[in-house]
Amino acid sequence: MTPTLDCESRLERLSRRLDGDLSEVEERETAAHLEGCSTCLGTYETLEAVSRGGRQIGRETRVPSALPARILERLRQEGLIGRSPRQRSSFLLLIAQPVWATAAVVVLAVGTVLYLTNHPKEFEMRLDREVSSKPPAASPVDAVAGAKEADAAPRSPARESEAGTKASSARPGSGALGADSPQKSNDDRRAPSGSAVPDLMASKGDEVSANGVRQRLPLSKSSVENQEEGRVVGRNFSSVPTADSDSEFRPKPSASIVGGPAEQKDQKLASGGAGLSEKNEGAVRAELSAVGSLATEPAAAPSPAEVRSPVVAEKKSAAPESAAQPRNAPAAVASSPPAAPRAKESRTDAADQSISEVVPARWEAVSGTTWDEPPHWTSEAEKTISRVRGRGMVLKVRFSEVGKIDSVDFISGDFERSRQVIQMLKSLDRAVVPAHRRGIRVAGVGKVEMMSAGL
Amino acid sequence: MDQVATAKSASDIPYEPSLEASKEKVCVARCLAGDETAAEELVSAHTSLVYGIGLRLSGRVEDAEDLTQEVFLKVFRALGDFRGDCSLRSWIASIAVNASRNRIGGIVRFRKLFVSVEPPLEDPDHDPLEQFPDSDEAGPEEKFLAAERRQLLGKEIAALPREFREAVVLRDQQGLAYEDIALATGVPVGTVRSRLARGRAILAKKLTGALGRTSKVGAL
Repeated sequence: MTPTLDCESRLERLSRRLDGDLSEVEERETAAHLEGCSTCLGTYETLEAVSRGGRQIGRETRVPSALPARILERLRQEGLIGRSPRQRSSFLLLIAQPVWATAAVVVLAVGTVLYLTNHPKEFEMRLDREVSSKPPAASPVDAVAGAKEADAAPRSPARESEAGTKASSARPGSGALGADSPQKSNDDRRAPSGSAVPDLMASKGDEVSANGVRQRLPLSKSSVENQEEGRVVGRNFSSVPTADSDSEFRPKPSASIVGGPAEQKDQKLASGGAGLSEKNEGAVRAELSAVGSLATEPAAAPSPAEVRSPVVAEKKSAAPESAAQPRNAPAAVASSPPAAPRAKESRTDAADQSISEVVPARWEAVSGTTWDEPPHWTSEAEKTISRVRGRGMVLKVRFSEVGKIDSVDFISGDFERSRQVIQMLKSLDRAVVPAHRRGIRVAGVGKVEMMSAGL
Repeated sequence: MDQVATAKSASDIPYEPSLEASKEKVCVARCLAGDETAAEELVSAHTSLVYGIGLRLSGRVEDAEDLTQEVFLKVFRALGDFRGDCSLRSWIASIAVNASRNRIGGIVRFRKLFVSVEPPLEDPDHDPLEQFPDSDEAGPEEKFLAAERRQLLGKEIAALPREFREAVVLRDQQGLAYEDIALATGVPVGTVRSRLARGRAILAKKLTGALGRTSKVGAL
């Protein structure tokens, strides 16, 4: 019998017959065909031989005698046998594995390095805080404000007020705002509850300043109003710190901030500050006075490292001659030769104050908002950058130098409000450059173009 | 009728004994509870399966050993996911097949594999004559020739395309049912039948050409 198409199609059935996979009907039909078809019978015998040979090969396969033991050992090493699943999933057991422990150490190390690299300022502030926790005997502030009260227990409000009054009166040019209301300065530092150490326990609006002392950020526009009305809610950053405030809140003086000519900025404000409310305008004037004094500080601009590193400034300010120098004597500072490094120090202090106080105050003044959280300061290419998070918006502020806003970038939040704030800042100060984000684009210094984005 | 009887006896494949379904569940439960003895039972019952698949699909003893360890690691890591929908044997076989596929890089490597049916070198107790089938009428010379033919068959199996080789190895060498092969290879049962028939036909054709006579092939 010659192979037919039917025989070709029977190949799969012959293969299945080898495995006993045929039904009873199929089996009978196939058996009948094999009886009459020698070709299919030969194919079937060959397939059967192949299948039998394959089974024999499978049987002859020898598993290495040591393999099961090696498998079990490997399973033990991996912790897959010998422990219950609950034990297996135990985190402690997991981290007890050398590989995991090593990986965890590496991740922690890398994370720490990255954090310190990206947040050098915070790291320095922590170090500085530790330094400032020691008795600040070498601080020039304490030389004036009295080292005798440095170690003292909580002062009474009366004593605090007295000390503040003395300090204010002993300071000839204590700034545009500080001069007009010395009593207010004292009140500003007094906690509403009469706590002996008021601001150390403050919560919202608090900030740890660059010299490691917790300070209070401006709370809101209403806080300015409250201060004007004689009610004290929080510390007004638009006021220049007095000697007493320094003795309590800051271990270092900020002599450079005293006595600056604010008139230039006032003129600038008068020309470009249109659109501000009276209250805000008053606050802005105060801020500009402070900033103006910074801007006109003679020479000795701090190096970026000094600006970024309050620790360095702290060490410098701890010099003996600095401690002996009266802090409220600008003329003496300017004239005496040893005062040259001191001017640098003061500039560094001013930088700290400007960054942590003046800019937030300006922010509050023009925007009517507070900082919801302490600014996050970083440095980038010798410029100080901060992410400013106010109510409903987050901006990035870049300073070309101390107290000088170079640009403000919109990051997120209420775009329209941010745009208004940026425009206000632009009208008040030098070039405030909005970012390119969301359609805002810089066309040049002092010029802002609103590009598309439905604006 | 004799042929039918022969066919039935041929289908009576002496599969490797495996844990029964109920015992499998108990064994798995004990393994999950941390019973090391159960783990040893599971490993010893399926090492031959996994190693055989690894050896025949990878072609190298070293690869097969590594693959076997790798497969059991995967098995014990995923043992909690075993729901008992299929036999533990087929479940492990599917892991072994997938591991073999992942391990073996390309078709080129397949071409030169199939080391042989030779036992591992580290087995000093191996007697080459033991691999010959016991037959009352077969003498030592015939056994030796049969072994050579099986070696040839092994090489031809290794030269098969992957899908055919998987079907032949899992069915003829490891004795898995069609359903288990379908599960292990991820194809329908009908595809398994077709691949197995075609793979066997290819082997039959090659062996017939190499040995010249069907009778010699039949002497496998």
